[in-house]
Amino acid sequence: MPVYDQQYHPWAGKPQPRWRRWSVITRYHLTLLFTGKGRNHLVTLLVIAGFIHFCFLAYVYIMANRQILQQYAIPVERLPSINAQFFLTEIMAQSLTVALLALIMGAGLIADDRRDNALPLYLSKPLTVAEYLLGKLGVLALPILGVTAVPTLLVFGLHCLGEGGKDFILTYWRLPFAIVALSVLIALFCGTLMLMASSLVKKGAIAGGMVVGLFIGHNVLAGVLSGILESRKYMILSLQFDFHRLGLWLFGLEHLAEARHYPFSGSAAGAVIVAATALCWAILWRQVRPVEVVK
Amino acid sequence: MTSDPIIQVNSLSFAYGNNVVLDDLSFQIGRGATGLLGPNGAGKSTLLKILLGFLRPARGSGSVLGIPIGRGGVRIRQRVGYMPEHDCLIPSLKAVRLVMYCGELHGLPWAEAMQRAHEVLFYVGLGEARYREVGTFSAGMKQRLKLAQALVASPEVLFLDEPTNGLDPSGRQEMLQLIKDVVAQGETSVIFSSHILHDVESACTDVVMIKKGRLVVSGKIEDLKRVEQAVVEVRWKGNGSGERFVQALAGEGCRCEQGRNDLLRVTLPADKSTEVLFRAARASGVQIRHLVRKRDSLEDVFLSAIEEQN
Repeated sequence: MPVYDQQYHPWAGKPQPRWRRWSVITRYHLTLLFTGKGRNHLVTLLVIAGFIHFCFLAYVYIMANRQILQQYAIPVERLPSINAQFFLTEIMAQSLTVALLALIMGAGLIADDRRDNALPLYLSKPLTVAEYLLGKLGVLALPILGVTAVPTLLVFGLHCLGEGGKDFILTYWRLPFAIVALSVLIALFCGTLMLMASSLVKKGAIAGGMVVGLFIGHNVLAGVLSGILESRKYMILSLQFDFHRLGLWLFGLEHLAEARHYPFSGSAAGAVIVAATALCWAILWRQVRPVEVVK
Repeated sequence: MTSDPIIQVNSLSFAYGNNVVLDDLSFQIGRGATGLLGPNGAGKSTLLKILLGFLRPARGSGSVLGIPIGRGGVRIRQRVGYMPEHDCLIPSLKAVRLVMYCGELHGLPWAEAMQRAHEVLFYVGLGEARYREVGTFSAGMKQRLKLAQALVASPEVLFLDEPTNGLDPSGRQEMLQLIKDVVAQGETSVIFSSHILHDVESACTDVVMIKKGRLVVSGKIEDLKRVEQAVVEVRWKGNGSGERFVQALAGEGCRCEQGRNDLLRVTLPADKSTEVLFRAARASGVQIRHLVRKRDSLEDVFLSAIEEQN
């Protein structure tokens, strides 16, 4: 078609409210999962997440139908009971899925924009840096919540409707809040960490490698310090332990031997997680600019 | 310029470290097409980035569509479209998806963004290529696509940073024609940043010239390109001596300079007309083959303004 066949018609509609702009970025990236290369990633993730949840749902099913165990002469008391510890374990068992999600979906989120020099394209729109980052964070946070908070709350609801009943709800009424709080913190931290790594480089693979390196490195550091200085308090440097310790606190499991194993409190672990998230956010804030100034 | 400026800049200064990019810059721009002209490194792109709220000025103030720069970045960008100088497109996306995405980021609802993306792509001449991945586009197509994403939300002002960069002559003409067409609709004003004088001259009615971050000259191009009554450009031919012709003109009180393309630039004394040229030609045995009153090109305006500044 020749260039000037169509006239320019200005658009006279009403723009969407500004608070919804960040969600455009999230929606766009999540839509990409269903197209092209993203589809393969999605299938991989679904297989992994589906397998883990199959195991848990099978467990719940067996617990709710104990007569099956009796038929096969398996002692019921050998199985752990469904309580706060069970739900904490369920969330912590999702660590692998969360890590894979963050690595597969998040590695290129900002790195690709930096490679394509697309930051001016985004930020020349009526969008602040914070909204841009929020949109990218949503791409990771929503699926992470989808494999932590959502299934755990579903299992909790199933148990309340089934064997648990009213007594279970009354005993464990704070569990849903704890599940949401821990899941949100996991999503925020993992999302921000992945975005931070992605913002430092122009290749997603390198960002993924950085995160794996950071994860292994900081755990090794915590272990080495604890060993050399013969003090378990340095375990606070390991975010893996911090999340578990925080979970024990949030889920009201302070009385367990597991909690006493840690020489620091749940709130201290929470403070370390918040500080680490804030540090990642500060680096992100510095890295994501519409103009790259070469000094 | 006009009584209703869309951009106002007062004593604006900016530096990258010790490198001063804008130095006490003041001007205002009215509606229509205005060229932001200056050599490479003059501070044009930096100025646009300050106006968009990407950078904060060290000193001075300014406004775009009455919104103060600095604090009003998002409000300004809501009403302004920006076509960056460098490649900034997402290569894995199809053209229509990219323009639609930009429309949505600008606040268009999903369905309207989709419709507008198709319309705008047809408008810039990418209708047939709208389902192609951006990574497969040529430089000219990418420039058009950058224009399309800037136009999708119908901005009141369009900032075009070197829009003709990397285009072949026909592509350049088409881009200039598109820009003129957008302005002719009357809804959108254009700020056309370029170092190519000819492009600015052909697409804009007004110009702001800057060099080393300082204002050189600003105003309507037609006003700046004044006709100098006392200066004429002459080309001569014949068996006679050129030196004798110049000497004869000097004898009449004229000042002569050799110009470009074998043109002799003659400044006539205040009390004499072009008749002295023919008299001198007859006396020195040459024929005058070309005689026009000199009209400044934009380049002349730019060069003389810089000379004056120096």
